[in-house]
Amino acid sequence: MFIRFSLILLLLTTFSFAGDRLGEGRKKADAEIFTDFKAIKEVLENDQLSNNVKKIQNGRIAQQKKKLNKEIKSYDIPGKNEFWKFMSELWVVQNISKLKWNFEKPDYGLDDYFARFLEDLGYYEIKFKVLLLDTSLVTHFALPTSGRDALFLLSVPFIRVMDLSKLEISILMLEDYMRSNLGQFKKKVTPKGLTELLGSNFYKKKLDMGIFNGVLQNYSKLVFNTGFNFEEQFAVTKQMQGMLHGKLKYWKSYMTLLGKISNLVKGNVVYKDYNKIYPSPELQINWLKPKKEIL
Amino acid sequence: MKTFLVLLFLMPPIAQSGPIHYLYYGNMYGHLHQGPSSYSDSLKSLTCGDRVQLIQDKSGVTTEFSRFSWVKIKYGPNEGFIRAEFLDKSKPKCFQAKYIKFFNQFKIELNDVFTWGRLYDQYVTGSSKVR
Repeated sequence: MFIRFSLILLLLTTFSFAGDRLGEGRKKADAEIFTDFKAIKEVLENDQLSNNVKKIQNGRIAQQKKKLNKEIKSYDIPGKNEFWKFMSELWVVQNISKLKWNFEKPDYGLDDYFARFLEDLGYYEIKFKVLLLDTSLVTHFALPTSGRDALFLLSVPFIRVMDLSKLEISILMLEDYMRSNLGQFKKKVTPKGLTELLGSNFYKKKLDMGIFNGVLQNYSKLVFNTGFNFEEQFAVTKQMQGMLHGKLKYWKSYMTLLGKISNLVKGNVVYKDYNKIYPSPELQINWLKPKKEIL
Repeated sequence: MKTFLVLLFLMPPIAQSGPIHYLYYGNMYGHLHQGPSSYSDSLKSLTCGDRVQLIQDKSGVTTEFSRFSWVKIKYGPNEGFIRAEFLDKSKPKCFQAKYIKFFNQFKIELNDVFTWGRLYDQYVTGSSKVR
């Protein structure tokens, strides 16, 4: 009994001792692993840190670049389409006292009629604006604007004194549109150096405003004083002939219109300077008449 | 509980409304008119890109929006009329913003701004059809 008891006690003691020894070993192994992981962890952490720093730095550089690009872009000069639309409107606004466009007027139904007229001649997708003037100082003009669009100035006293029909008014505007398509107005108001500037950028450069003010001055000079020359009138008249000759109704109206203007210029002192701007309705009629054969 | 009920009572009433339509003014400058006419008094000047609210009528239907009509809008505290063709559904790329440094060189004065706004009211506009 006693021996059996002693044996059991001995066995228990031995197992307990062994268990302790084993636990110590495991702890030592775990400690070793933990120490190694600590070393690796530092390396890993440093790597992540440097990556993050790089990311932030790159992000900052990208933001600065974006900000700089935005700043540079703000110095853009408009291209030709946007430029001419802006300049024409600015000139019209600045010359309101001479042009007298801010007045109450009835609806002449020009918008629909002129649109159908253009379609009949094969001019599609043309957007136009007509600004009616309450002055005889300026009779009719097409100012430069964007693309194929049109901006017309049209004097109400001028069309009233000749009692022009909607068709005759449309033909008058068509002639101005032809003149615009031939680039006659733009050519006369463009100063030296303008073409190179359009569509460029003036970041960190001085912009010569003299050029742009020169454009506005040239607008006034052309519209109020110098107008177009004989060569330019001939070119437009021939264009109109090509356009309208096939349509008898329009052709007759064009000849009637030129006749009315010719008589007005000869008989009305208010329009004595018309030939200075558009020389000359009488010549235009002669250019358009068929030549008589000498037999 | 009492505090909650008091707060609920004090909250502003949530009005029943349909979708609110916002549009943007598309021209360089413009005017909000007292009435649906280019010649009626100007209530307020508008600049390109300004956001306006299309006003709904009592039945909750927005004012008819077509190219040739006048629409009633709200701009800030002001309610007035403007030509529908001057408004865009999305914010336009305005000349003044796109070419800001170039535009500022011209030193446009206040009276020019007012006049420019009147210009768009005076235009007779049209277009020939798409082929």
